[in-house]
Amino acid sequence: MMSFILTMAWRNLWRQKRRTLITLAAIALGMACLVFFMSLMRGFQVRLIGLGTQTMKGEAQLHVTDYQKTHETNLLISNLEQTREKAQSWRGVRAVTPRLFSPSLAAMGDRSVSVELIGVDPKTEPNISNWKERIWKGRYLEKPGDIMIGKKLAEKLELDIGGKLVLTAADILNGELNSQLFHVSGILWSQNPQLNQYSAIIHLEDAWVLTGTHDAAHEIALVFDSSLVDSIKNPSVIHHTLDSQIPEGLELHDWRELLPEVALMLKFQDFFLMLSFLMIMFLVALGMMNTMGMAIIERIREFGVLQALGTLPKLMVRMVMMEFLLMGICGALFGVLFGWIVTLICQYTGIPLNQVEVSGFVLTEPLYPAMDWLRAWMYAVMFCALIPIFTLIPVQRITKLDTVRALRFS
Amino acid sequence: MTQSMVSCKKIKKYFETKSEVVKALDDINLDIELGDFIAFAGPSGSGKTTLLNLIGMLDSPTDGDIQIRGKSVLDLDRSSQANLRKREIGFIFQAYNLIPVLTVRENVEYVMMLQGQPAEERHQRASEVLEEVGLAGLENRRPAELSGGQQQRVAVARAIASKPAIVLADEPTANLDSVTGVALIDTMERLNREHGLTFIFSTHDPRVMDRASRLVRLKDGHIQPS
Repeated sequence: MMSFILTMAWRNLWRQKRRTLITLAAIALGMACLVFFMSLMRGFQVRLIGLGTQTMKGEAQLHVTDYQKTHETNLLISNLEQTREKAQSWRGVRAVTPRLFSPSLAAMGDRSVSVELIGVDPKTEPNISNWKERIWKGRYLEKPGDIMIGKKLAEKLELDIGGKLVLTAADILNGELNSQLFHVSGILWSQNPQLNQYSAIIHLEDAWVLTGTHDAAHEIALVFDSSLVDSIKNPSVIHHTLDSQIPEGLELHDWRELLPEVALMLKFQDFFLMLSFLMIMFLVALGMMNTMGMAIIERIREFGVLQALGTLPKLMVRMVMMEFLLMGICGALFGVLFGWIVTLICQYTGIPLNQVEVSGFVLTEPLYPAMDWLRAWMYAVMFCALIPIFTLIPVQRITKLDTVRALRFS
Repeated sequence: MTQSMVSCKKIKKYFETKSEVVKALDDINLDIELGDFIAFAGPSGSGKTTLLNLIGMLDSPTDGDIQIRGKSVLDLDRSSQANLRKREIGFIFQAYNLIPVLTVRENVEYVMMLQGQPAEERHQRASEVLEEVGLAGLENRRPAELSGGQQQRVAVARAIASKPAIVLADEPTANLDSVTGVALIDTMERLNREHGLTFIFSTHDPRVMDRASRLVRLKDGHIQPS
């Protein structure tokens, strides 16, 4: 019986070719817009997370318990070498790098400004952050005594490559002030305004001297093999994979915890996407209901005949629902396909962004949409699953059909 | 006492308009036996189609009782009536009323499909019936590709394919030319004779009335004495 109903539904669909094509086009266009919009959002999210993780944070970080909450400078990871070696050996970890932070004063001649001192290991840092590629002038850190500063800070202090800069920071253990002279080796321009304006990046060994510490850091940043942990899509996998291996006294934070403003933005986007889906689908549903209403009225006499032949109203309702389900499935399939093609084109051309600032990051390069197949199919299936609900109103007419009046209908 | 195939007892069917009550059928008593080839004759508005609709459970009377094989059909709910209809009654309509999206074969198979018959059986039965009404070779055509006479023969094939006990035909020859109309009646008569099918049809065509084994004349909702 099902194949009979399917055949009837499919043929009925093409009785009014133009009307069916228009409705199909409306569904496909709605779905394509949604898929493309979703791809844009996905591309935007990947970019935003990439900026957050590559400009500074990494995909996860190890800290001493409570450091992430309080940022107290005395909450240091001691036995740094041992801990970083251990972290490097964890399954799925591609690279690790330590960082030490301290508020400090940068002075050049009679000009001085508050900065955040960041002590890094120049050998391992490029595995995590993109600072090396973001050098605007000069070169990356090579040896103790080198310093890298952001472009805006360089402009503020009127510094250029080779310029001298004195950093003064407090000893973390006893509070005494320590100063050291640095030579500017590189000026970087980052999409993270914080780095451009307030950061002074120095060799970890120099940072130890200035802060009176040794073999210690405030954080160890980690990145993962994408083959093991797709941390962008599902950061909680990081915790599931690694939590059991974290040494006592330390805690692991994934990028969602490190970049709460980005995580919030993503949540908002997901909500906005769902809202868009509902709005688009509501409009498409109105179109479908109208088409269905017309299709039912045109075929009232036929439904009367079917009823006279012994067809139960619920079977006729199933026939009409099947018709529109087929239309919905075709429309959704074409829509996903069309949306994918548009996404492919934009992946090739890119969508130019003009220095847009989002969640504290400046987006400069073109945006490349990223197809989110899972979600595209999920929305397509959701739409098809909603069709029987859209059809409930128009099919009421069939359930209340008076056979004799229907047979006289012209 | 033998049981009638169809029994109408004191049937009344009134339609209320804003200003008056129209008595489409008034106090109809009628017994139809198995194998009858019975015609309801009368002018337009005499109540022929209304009586056929009531016997076919497409409508319900204002008063009275209708029994099929001795059981009242008015006690049945809508879906039980539909089930009884697809099991016991075949319909032939004046305007053919074939399903335009189905082929000739699929139209003939439709009621059997509703009955849940397996595809192979349906297929075989449809071929037999189409052969019987002279439409072999046209199985895969759509109704729109057939003449009026051919369409009405498909309707006959559809009506008898599921082997009902009764075939109700509402002015089956009205839309056909005289030669085609007579040929259709020949076919119906042969099916009645050979298979013992009960045919109940309405007509106002004197040539068709002459062929009926029993004629019931209706006027203004009453059966006229013969």
